[in-house]
Amino acid sequence: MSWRSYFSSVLGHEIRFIAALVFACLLVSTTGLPFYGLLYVALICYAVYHLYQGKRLLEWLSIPERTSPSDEIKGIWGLIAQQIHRKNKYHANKDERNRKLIGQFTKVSQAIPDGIIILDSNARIEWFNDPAIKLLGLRKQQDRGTQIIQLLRDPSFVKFFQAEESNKHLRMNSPISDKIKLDVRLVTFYDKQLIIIQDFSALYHMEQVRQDFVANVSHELRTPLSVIVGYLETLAEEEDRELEAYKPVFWQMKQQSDRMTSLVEDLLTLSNLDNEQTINSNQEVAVPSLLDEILNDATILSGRKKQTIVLDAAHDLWLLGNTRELHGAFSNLVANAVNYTPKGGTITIRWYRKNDELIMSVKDTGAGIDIIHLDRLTERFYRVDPARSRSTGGTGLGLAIVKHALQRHDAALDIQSKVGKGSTFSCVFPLDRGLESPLQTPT
Amino acid sequence: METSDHILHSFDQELEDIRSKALAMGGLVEKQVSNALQAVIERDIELGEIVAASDGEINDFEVDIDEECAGIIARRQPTAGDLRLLLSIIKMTTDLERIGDEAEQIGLYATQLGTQTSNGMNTQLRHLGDLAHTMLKLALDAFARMDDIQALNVAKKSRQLGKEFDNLSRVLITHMMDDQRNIKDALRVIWCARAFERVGNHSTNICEFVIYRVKGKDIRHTNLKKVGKKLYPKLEDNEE
Repeated sequence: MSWRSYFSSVLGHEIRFIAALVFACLLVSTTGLPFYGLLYVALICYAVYHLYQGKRLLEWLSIPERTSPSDEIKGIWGLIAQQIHRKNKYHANKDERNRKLIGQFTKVSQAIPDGIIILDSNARIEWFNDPAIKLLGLRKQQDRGTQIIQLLRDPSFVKFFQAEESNKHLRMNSPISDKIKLDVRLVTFYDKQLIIIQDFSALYHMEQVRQDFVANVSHELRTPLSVIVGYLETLAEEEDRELEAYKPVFWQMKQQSDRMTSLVEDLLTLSNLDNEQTINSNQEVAVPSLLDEILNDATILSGRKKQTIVLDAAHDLWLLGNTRELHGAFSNLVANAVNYTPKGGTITIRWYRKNDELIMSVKDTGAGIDIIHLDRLTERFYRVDPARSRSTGGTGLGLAIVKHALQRHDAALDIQSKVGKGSTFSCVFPLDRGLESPLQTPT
Repeated sequence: METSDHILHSFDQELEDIRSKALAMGGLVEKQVSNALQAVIERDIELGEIVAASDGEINDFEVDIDEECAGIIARRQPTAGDLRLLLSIIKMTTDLERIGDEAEQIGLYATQLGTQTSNGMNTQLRHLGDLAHTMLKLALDAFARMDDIQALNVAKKSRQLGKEFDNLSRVLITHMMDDQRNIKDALRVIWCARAFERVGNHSTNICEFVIYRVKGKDIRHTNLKKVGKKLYPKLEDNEE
């Protein structure tokens, strides 16, 4: 407040009042009373007047629902009252707006079908919405301030939560019922954490139906196919003169039926990998002897191609996993290499430890794969060169099977390739799946 | 949680952490029990093998938690509620470990039962298994929330458990009388049932520790009805 407006609005009133007092004193002093005595009394009256105004202001302030201050509060006190009133009104408006905003936010958060939980820096539950109650069975009042892992005790969640991998998904059953499937996401912001829970039971059910469908179809196709193949075989080997002309046709038919059989087998394997939730992936697998076996099969498969197949395996390194699936994955990679490497090429199979990884790699001297295909190579039925791969008899499912099998062993498939030079397919396992050979290494 | 804060903030944190650890162990045991149940009902041999092989982690938990509890008692000299909390955690881990052992046993039986399912036995066994599993879950929930009323209600379910077990025995006896070749499987099923009943009983123990922690009263080996009337007069009146 500038001095000028202060003088004009506040002191103006006071100065006029004081001037009137002094003038009154002068008037009265003409009757013979002492001027200074009068002035003294007048100033005391003035002070009392101010005290009285102050009392009024306080009275007004103590009213809980204040309307605008009455005009009876005058001068500087009135001005203070007006200022307070204006400020109050401003804050009241702001409060109202904030309350509305918070109300809206709460309503929105309740309307979101996903469960949301906010955790404080000590992993205690700070806030959650109604869907979270419904999906997880939390209790509205009681559960605030409880550490989340005391209520969501599923080991997979505890592991997921303690790993603190932000923005990753976890799929788990609801603690209320195994039928409710949840998709959980963890988001970290500042020192707090946000848990977002989605109900994907419907989606899960659909996936289940699709997987079952594929599994059933492939299963049902197997029997008629084997009958057809059986008869074709007999027909093709028949020594009858009349049938002589049709022999090439029979052979072709048999070849194609064989292809179809292997396709169905692969589909079945793949859907088994998709379906089976529970496999024992903690068997002790003797990788070196497993690779020996695969090497023998590969030599037979290689046949007249005169390829050199080399095995270089760390003898005392075993793996925790599922023998059947690992055998499937490894032999698929080796078979691929044999199929795609031309005559006289070299295939190197290695099994070794590199820093904190365990690697099974298959290196070939084939045609190599263009880099644009690498990302999509593990998709089902993806083909780099459709014409060529059909002639080699592949099903288009091999690498998909490898990828799935590896995923179940916490492993990844790494593909390095240069056109014209060859490719290297590596299965990279985490170190904690490794195992010292329990057998004595032969000397 | 309802415990009032201590002046030493780190002490609160320690208590909270040990509680979380005990409940994480509980979660693991819960999973084992539900897996064991699934393995037995669906005759999933591979799952049975997994269950039978993963008891080690639970045992490690028990040793670890006991050691930490001993450490806290030695360093902090807790009293009243805190002491009761630590004592009940120590006792609870023992029960949880036993439940883990029972689950391991069930897993083993599941591998021996073979893949043939006989429906008559299965439904009854599933009832019993589900009941035991629910009791365990509710008991741990009660422990997490220190909800003594829920604990009392769970403890009262042990009678129902006994009834289910009797029902199953009756069904199994008829099975055995029908055909002697059933005896082998029926015996294995009854061992499973026995194990599930034990799971339920151990869960009851956990509930008793919850009441001990909250009310400071040891209600083991007493009549639950009387206890309920004494500790929760209002609640029991409403029920009647």
